[in-house]
Amino acid sequence: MKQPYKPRSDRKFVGGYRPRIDAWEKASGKVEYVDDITLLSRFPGMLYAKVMRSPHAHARIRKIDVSKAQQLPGVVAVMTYKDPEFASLRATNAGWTDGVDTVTYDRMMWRQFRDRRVLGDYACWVTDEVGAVVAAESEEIAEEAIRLIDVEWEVLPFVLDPIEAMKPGAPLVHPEITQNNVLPKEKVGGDDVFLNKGDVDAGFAEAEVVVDGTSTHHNATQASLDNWCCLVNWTDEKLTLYSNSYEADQSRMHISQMLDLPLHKVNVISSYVGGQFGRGDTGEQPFFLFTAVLSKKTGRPVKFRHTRRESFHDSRQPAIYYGKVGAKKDGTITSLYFKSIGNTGAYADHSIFALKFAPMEIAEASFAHIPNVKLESYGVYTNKLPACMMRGVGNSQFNLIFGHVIDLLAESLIWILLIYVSKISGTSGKLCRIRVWWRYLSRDQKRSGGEKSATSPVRGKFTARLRNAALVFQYIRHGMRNGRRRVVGIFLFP
Amino acid sequence: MPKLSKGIKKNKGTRKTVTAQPSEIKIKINGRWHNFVPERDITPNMTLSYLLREKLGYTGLKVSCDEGACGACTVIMDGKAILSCMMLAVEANGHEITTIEGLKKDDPVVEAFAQQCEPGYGTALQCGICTPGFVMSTRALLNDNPIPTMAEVKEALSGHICRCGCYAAIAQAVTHASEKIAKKGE
Repeated sequence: MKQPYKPRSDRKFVGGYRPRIDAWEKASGKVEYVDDITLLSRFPGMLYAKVMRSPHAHARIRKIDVSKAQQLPGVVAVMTYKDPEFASLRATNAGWTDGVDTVTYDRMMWRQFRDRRVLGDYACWVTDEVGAVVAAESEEIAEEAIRLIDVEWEVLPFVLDPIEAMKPGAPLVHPEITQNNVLPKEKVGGDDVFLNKGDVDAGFAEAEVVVDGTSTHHNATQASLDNWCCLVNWTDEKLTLYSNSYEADQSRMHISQMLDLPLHKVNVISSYVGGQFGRGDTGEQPFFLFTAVLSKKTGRPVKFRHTRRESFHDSRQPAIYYGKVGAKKDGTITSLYFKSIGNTGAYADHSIFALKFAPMEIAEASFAHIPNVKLESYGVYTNKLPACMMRGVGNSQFNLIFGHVIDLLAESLIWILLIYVSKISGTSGKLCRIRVWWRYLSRDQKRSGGEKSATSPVRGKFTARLRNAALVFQYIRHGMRNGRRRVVGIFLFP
Repeated sequence: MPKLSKGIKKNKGTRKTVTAQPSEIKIKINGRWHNFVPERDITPNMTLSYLLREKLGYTGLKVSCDEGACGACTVIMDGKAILSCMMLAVEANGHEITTIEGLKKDDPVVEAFAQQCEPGYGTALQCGICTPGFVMSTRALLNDNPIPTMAEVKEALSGHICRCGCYAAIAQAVTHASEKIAKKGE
């Protein structure tokens, strides 16, 4: 039964239910997303951009020939990484998103790993944006032009598993940044062991029950219904970007710093956003920049948008977690230890957020009473799709292992706890606890239908009944001895 | 195509005869007939969603997956909700199309979606990019069946994706729209 929320005192705004302020515009289809604003009819002479994508997980371009693409009717510009407009650009990363304190290139976030080239000759995952961009009269022509580009690849060995990538001798994804594929230490994330409270080893020695477990999370894509889309109009020394990135200020600074334009000449218009779910924080921003360069080259507005397939190029970071919990027999946790290895994929993006910030936040709130806590994390480059955040920053990865080890602990403690509770005299407080266990048992019995259950401590109907009967008998015996017949009566006939 | 003739013979009754290219394509959009010249206005591979959005500027319908999976591009054709990204523009020749722009200003379905906010259900939209599709499917459903059961609502809207996850409130909005229609006595 759903009950409406009733605040203790009447409030004007908080606690009430009101229609959304933008609901009518959205429900009637009047709201314009960036794809609606940037129609050809509104930007006469608009061109469409497409970028070449790597067919190899790890490769370098030896030779590129764009002459066939240039000859295709409808193609206006083909640019490669050799063009000075691109060759002169510095590397960038996701440090310009998420409203972080990035103002200039030198002071940007994550400056220890600027790993994304706007357009380079080096691909570090399959479908990496590499080599060449095309501006053409239609998307189909641009796609066809990309297909006509001849490339001679130098295919390099690749690594997909983060643990393999950490081993000596593994192929290096970004040799200019790290020599062992592990993300270098930087200011924002802090040390590898980012929380070390008390003495974890002493805590485990003190514990009566110790359980541990490992979990492996997978990639998950944000899949917003509104695909990445942008239009850049760079004419008369003034650049206007229409985009569905909600970070208009950050995009402005990024473009201004990367393309060496004064800030007042960069205008960013963020439309309504048809869902982000973390995609906006990924480092997949260089497409603003190559679209801008194409617009400057052609002198016409250029639009670049992702297809639905390309929308799967952003994802939530998969992480391998190891967790260990030590506790007393009464359930008091004495020690906690978590270690994670995050598969950041080809580009680091905000991996450190996902690996360190979410566990840290949970630790600050939920582990405050636990005396010994140790958390450590490593972000590792591999030749897989770049991974960042989705609907929470690392929460789901950490909660997977956290919930799992606490479940394991509860399972190993439950019988110790029952015997412990039933052995001591039946005070009313203990009675409540026993009734809770009683309900738990009978519910569990119903749910498993007498079948053997892997997760439940109750292995079958018969043993469950036997144990319940033993429990009740024990309880009556203790209750009788202490002269609490009434209490026993309540217990037997709830 | 002589090789295929064997298979086609069996379905002779349902087989459409391919006539020569029509000299003109007529589509009634939101109550007005539009005439298009083949090849110049409509190419053979142009989808209806492309024609409506990019050529005519009806941006109320959204193209999100472009393969009939998400329902954001739903329009009403001859009273039935269809996915405009899965239909070629030439196939709409002679048919009547209603986009969300063609609904009345005080359409009860739009009103119900806009006003929806209810304890336990919340609002029927957040980012709003899927909403025009939901509205059009709901409109088609309520035209046919003004008082649908919850099962019928779920069946009718099952082809839509709302990534923000407002499904429960959307179903509520449909029931409210149905109540509004009953009140107005349409």
